[in-house]
Amino acid sequence: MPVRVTLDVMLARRKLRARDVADQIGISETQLSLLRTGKVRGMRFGTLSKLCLILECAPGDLLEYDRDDADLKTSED
Amino acid sequence: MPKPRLPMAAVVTRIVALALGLALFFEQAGASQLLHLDGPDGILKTPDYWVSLIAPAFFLWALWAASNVFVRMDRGDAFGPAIVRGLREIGGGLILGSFAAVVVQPSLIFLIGNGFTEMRGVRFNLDVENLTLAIVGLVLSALARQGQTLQAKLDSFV
Repeated sequence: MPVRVTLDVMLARRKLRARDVADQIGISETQLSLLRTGKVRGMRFGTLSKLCLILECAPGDLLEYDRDDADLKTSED
Repeated sequence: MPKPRLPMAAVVTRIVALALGLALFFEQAGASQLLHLDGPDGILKTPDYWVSLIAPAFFLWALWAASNVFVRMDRGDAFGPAIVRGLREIGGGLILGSFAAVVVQPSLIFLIGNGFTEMRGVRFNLDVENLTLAIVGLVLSALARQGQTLQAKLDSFV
């Protein structure tokens, strides 16, 4: 998927540990790890806003998009 | 540790299942026969009686499975494997019960009636009720599968 989660970068910038962030936003460390590695189908707005609050950033700081014209042809299932 | 309270829907379903089971037993056996169940001419000795219990047994199993689903829903369980298994049990019970009522019982009663001398042909008893129950069972099983897929999709969101 061309949308990448750049949580690792933000965690490094804020010098926070993944375990602490997972504890604060109320998800498991495994889920946060899946999120960091992009192995999830999506992120809930609730999770995104909690991450933004704790990391003091905007959604755009946590997500990046690699342009791919084929995206228009992919079906949403 | 206190035992978890059963939800009203589950209690009602279980009472209905037990009442229907007892009613079936009394209806089939006859109150007067109950005193000599094991007598030489007791109705419980006849194979027809046991064959006639196949379909209701599956339907009662489906009812019991429904009560278990009510319990899990009341506990707040997500649409996980336990509820899916419960729904499949209900669907399976309805399908098997209908199949037994439509095909198995008439065929077996016919075979028993002629002493297994004429083994040809399958007997049908095409009731609207049984066919409807079979379709409902199929729909339930399909819905359970669909629900499981949706839940898996939902779980893949963090």
